[in-house]
Amino acid sequence: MEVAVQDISDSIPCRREQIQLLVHLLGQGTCALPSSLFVYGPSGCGKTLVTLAVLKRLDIITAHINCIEAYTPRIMFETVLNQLSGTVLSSSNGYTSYASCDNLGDFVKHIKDIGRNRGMPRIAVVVEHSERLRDQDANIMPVLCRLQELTCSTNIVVIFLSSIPVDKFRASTGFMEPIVVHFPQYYKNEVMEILVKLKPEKYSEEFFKNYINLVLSVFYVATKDLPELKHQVQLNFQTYCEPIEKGEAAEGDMRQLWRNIEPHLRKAMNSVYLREVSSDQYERMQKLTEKNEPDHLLSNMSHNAKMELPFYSKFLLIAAYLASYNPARTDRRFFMKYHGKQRKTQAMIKAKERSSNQLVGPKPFPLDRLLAIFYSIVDDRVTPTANIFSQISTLVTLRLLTQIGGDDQLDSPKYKCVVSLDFIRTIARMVSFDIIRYLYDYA
Amino acid sequence: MAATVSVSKGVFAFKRSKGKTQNDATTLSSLDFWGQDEEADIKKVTHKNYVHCWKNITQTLNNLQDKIHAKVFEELVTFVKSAGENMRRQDHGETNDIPTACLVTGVNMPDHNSIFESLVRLLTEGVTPHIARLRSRDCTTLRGAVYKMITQLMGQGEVVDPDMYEEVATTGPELKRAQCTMPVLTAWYKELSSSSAEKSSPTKSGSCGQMTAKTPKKALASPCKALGSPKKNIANPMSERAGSSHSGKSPRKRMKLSEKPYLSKCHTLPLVVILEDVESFPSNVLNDLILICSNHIQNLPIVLVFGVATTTAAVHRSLAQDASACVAMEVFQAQPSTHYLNHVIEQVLMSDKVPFHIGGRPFKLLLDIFLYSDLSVEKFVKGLKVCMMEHFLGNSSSFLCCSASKRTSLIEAMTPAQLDIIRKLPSFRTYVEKCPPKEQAALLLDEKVSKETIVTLLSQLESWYIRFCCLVKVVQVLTSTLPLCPLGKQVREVLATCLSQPLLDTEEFQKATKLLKLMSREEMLPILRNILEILQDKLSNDEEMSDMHYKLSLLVGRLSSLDQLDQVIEEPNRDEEPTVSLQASDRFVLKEKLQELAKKSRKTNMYDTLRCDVVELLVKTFEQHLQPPSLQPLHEIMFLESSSSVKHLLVGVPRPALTTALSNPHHYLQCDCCQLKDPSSILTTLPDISVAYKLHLECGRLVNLYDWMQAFISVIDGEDEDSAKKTVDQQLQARFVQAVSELQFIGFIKPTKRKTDHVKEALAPDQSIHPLKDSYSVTYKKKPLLLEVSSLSSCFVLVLAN
Amino acid sequence: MGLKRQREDDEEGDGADDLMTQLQQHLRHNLTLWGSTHEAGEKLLSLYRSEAQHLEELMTRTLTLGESNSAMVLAPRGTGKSALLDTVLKKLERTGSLCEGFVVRLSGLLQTDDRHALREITSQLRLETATANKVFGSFAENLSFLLESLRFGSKESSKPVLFILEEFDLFCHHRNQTLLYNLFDVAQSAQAPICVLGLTCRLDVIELLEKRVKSRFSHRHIHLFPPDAFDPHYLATFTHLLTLPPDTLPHKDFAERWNSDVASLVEDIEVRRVLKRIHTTTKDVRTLKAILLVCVSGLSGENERVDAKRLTKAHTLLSGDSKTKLLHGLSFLQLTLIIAMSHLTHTYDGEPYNFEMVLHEYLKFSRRHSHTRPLPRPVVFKAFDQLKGLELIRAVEGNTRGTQREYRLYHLLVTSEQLSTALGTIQALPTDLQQWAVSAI
Repeated sequence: MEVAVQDISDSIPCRREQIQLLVHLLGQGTCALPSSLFVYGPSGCGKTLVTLAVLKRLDIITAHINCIEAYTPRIMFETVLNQLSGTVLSSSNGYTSYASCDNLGDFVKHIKDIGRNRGMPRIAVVVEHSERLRDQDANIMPVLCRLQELTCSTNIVVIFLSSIPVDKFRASTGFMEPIVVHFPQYYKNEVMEILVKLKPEKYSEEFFKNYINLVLSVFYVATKDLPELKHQVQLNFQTYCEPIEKGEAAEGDMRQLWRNIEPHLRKAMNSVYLREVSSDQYERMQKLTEKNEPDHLLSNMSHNAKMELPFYSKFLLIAAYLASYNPARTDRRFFMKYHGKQRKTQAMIKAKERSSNQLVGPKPFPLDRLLAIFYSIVDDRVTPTANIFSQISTLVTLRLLTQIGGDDQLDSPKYKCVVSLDFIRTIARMVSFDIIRYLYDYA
Repeated sequence: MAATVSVSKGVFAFKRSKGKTQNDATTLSSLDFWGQDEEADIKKVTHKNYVHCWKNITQTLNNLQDKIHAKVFEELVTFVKSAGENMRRQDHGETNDIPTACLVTGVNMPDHNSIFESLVRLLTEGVTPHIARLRSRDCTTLRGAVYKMITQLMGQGEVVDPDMYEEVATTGPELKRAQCTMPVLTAWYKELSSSSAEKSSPTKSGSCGQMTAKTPKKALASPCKALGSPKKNIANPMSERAGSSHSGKSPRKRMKLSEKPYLSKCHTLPLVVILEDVESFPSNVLNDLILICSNHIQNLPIVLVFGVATTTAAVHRSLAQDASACVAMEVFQAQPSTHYLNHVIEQVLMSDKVPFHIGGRPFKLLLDIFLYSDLSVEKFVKGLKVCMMEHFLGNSSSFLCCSASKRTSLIEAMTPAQLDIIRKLPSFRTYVEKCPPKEQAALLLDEKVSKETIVTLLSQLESWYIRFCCLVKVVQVLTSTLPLCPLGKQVREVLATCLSQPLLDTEEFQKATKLLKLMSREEMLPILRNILEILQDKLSNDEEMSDMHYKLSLLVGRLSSLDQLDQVIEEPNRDEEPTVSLQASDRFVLKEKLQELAKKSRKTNMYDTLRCDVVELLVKTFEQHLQPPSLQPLHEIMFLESSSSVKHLLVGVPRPALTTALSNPHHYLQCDCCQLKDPSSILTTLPDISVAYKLHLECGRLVNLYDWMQAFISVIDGEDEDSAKKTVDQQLQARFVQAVSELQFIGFIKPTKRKTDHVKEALAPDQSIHPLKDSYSVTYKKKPLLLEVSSLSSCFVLVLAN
Repeated sequence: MGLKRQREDDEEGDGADDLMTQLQQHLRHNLTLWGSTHEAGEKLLSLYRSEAQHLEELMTRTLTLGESNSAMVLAPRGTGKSALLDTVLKKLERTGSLCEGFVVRLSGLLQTDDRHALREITSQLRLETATANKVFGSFAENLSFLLESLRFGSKESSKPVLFILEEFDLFCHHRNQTLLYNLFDVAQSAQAPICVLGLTCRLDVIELLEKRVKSRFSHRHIHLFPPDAFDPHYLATFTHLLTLPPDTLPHKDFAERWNSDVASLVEDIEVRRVLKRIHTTTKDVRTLKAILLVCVSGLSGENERVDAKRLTKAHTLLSGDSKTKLLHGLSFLQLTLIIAMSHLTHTYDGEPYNFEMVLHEYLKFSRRHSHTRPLPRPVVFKAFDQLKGLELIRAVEGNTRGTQREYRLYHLLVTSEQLSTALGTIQALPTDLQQWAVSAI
């Protein structure tokens, strides 16, 4: 038993405790399995890896399904059955699965059969992303929990993997409390230990350690997510080594290296979580940057910020923005030549809700209001042609506006402008329209 | 990658021919509706010309379409390729990142389809046959999305090659809908790759078609025919192309080229999944799709291609963290459509290949539609087509609008009647008036003479147009670099101005010339060199231009060699002086002379004079040649000048049309029963709906149904005036109700539950903008409701806009 | 030291280990969360003697005298309804009265609608062949046919059937309760000798029945009240769960030693304390079983006895607040956001808030502490998104259609206590963050 634990924890660092617990709970040889386990912890902390490794080591027949993929129960059942019965899909059998099965009753029966036919082996069903089970029909979760009981005398365990604690699963009736195993997030030193394994052979251990220290010092604030950190480490190492490649710096002098890498790290900071660039493209960009093309990366990032719109669309968008961020009653004030001067009291009203409008978000507005504002901000007078209307719908399909209710002209549809302030400002700048002057929050 | 480009050309050679046939088929059938009451032969001729023109244009366009995006597509294809290879090479231990290409296509929706079609084509030839195109409208649910993806990847009768929309060939094994799951896909791909791996011995000229075809032969009996059909899928278009494309070479070439990529790494064909419009995908579907893919990335080399219309930020907005953590995106910027448009203008409008030319106003119109409403080239081209039709249909003289070679014969064969058509042309008349009187008679009466003149005039017209276009380019080069470029940066803007009016008269040009005269030599020279080049390659064969070119080149030569010349030129100035003083008889004169001499000597900088000469020269030529086509004789034949008809075809105005229809049905119905002297008057004979409409115009913001009906009835059967009679004729009431519901359906009115007293504050926002004139709902007061009539709810609000 | 002797008297090296494995095998069997061992069954019988009696007699009536009955067994989860029933059935089997009848077991979890239920019944009555090529107009028709086909000749001679419906309450959700109606109907009108036993944990189950169904049900309730006193019952179960049944192990003396160990264990103060705590949180035996399983599974040659330490360890392992555990996994950025949100919750006293507001707070915070430079907006948004994924925040219901994700309204699901406890234990937490948190809590 301890041998098994040892082996696995050699291959998977920093998870000894969890491995041990799992191995113990599952037990060895032919002994009875617990009816269900619930393994949870933040994503990317080795739940799946460990679990599968353990099951493999204890040679338990395993079916491994991902609930995102099993968007219908049928798919889930059949996948499980295939894996348990060792059915291999192939063109020879016309990709037909072990049995067509779309309800729990049959599922359980089939599992019984499989167990019987394969001579009562130890079976495990690993359910990944099990939080998705809650979206499916209410019985599945409890049935899986007590699958052992329902398939009486089949020695089967169901292991739920999830990033969400078990408390969120209790809703449905007949739910039987599984034994909970928690995978905590790696500690910083553990992260170190794991990341060091990425070391390319040509560099010394502690040089790489230093490097990782640097990376962590920047990124650890933003994310503890191991894959993310890994990604960043691999992303930036090239640049880190450059001075050494060029012979400008020895492995020793940290300061030099830090001065070199720091701006890059800061830059990369903007892309934590959002994989703007795959690593090789990133390298290419670095190359370009060397070819004194200043921050091509950022320009690349920002060139997607600006985009070309038809002239009227721009104004329509601006109008929409104004319509959704200005209260309707202020329209007269903004869009009419001779609006009556607003009363003093309005000042305090405004003061009350000043900052809010940007925080609360856009409000829906009817088509007529949009058009009215549009006509008043466009200088030359425009005939309301079909083109204008079609542009509105184009904006909707581009997800710059969203339509709320009313899919046709009849029940007058309401729209909402869903672009950010700086975006609309760039647009406004293109047509040299000072939008801030027209915004209730700022005017 | 050049390979694929040339390949794609090959494809287009095929596509073009195909498109042609279709085009003929459709238009020929439409020949019967063609033209008005002319005699048949002209009709035929004109139609032939039209078809021919359009053929030309489509050809050029098709060529363009691919050239435009060639570059970005190359990058993309290479990316996909390399991605596929990487995934196989380092069986990427733990990373679950999906290589993702993020193709930023402009906001010009209508063009996207063609973009993706050509992309798919390139991929099928260059990289992999396994491609899935997902559109958001198919993917409202995860289930549907996955189904679509898998069926297409496994070649379930989904058309990968847009050329084969006709026969939908199921190339993979038949699957039931329930069977389309990732495990199945994985199994399928495993078999495919394993069997193709051993198949990859390069002796076999295995284009993927055959390879995929081979796979099942080894597999067991049942699905053989099923899987076997990939050969059909891939081989088909080739064979078809071989058949249809006139030169049997192109397909052969294609095959050769397409072999290479497959053989090199046939066992690792990536599965490309193209999401055409990522923005409009429901975000949960997108997330799950990505998660699923990344879950299988170990066994399936999936490559995603996002079609993003707006910005990549949109992708992140719709992706949740866990999903975006497993895509490795690369951004590819497609060419902006304006750039495409420039090419179109360059090669279609300003080319001499196409006999049809577009005049100033229509061009402006098309341009505006493009720039103001949608940056879509597709629509621009459609507009162009409409213009052509309009030209060929509306203008009877257009039967001469064809290539010079044909024209002579046509003119020879002209009947007197046709000749008269030409003679009647106003521009021809003006031309005749200009001529010396004796010739006039000949021109108008003698058939032979007039025919000859027509021939010559037309050829002149053509050569003139070539010159014109070229000079337009010259102007553009000349002025585009000027501060706040008065004539606009783009060729299209210059063209627009030149087409509509003589360039010299525009004050923009005056500005430009002023600025030119201040231009420094360093700026000037390169520009002039460009101009020389342009003139060179365009007008080497045109004599008047060539001499102008010669002059210009001389000037440029002197300019460039100015610095050594300088002192040499100083000399004459100096010894000019005494001569002047000698002639000086009178001291006033002398004084003047001296003054201006002083002036001259102050500014006789050689460079200035030269620059002036250059500008003079250029201006002179412009003046001579850059006249709007409308001043050229016989321009009617080749140019479409009037935009009005086209406009009302291209620019729809739904609401005004609706209102006219209702207020004055006669305008559309053309029935004599309801002609109105003044539009506001109401006749009994009008259709019910328009009566109802006119009545509801009279009353307020809220219409009271009962009053409305009373009015309606009194209009319909006007004779009995006793409105006191309570019993309403059922039939009339039915008619009324129908009319009302029709109005509601059109969207002029809608039922409301509003109470009188609430109206005020409910209206507050509206009234605030109410004075904003048109397009805003007219607001009135409400009348109290008297009595329920019919099932319709009791009050109707006008939501009538503009 | 007991081990020492063991080692001496058997030669094979790790005798202790395989002893342990055997031991575990038995104990695991004891500790399975469902069903019951023979001993446990006996125990149940002794515990619920009268109820068992009642059940037994009901069934025997049906089986032998061919009279029809229906009854409901109600008890909280984990009391051993099914177990009791099983033991009773076993008993009947032993007496042999079961053999001339059929037992049909249905579970509300599996047979999610009546069609499935009927199929299940058919297969359990082994009548697939009989019904193979038949089409039935109605459900009742089908059922009656099934029962018909069980009878040969006279009413008496027909085979009695015991219907055991587990998770009975779920059957009530089937479309107009056809199955229940027909079963009860048959039972009431005594067309065929059947006995319908419903097992459920819902005491109000009768209310779920439609009127026509309710009227046909003989209102026979059998309640099982588990004695839940800590001492002696809970302790008794504890010992019972751990004790080895006699003569299961080859090494008598070892087994005895083990059992004596267990006996002494119960006396241990520490152990009692832990058990007490467990008992106060839940009286459900299964929790206890789980904990014990963890303990037992840890046993091996080296450490061969369950003691207080082990018990407490297991207990802490299984209990303990999951939210705080989750908070441990968060990055500092996310913690900052959480704190910001708890601030907001205080300021808007419980009003929901959207990402923009949170971001606003966050920026204010990082502006105040200049040395922590604020992260770019998209990054923060992704972090926020992750929080949503972990369900530490909940989106407010209502139509979110068309609202951007930045503007959706959320509630924070982390209480300030949880937050404070988590923050207390997180290592290397920036001080200013710490202070800000304190000001929030």
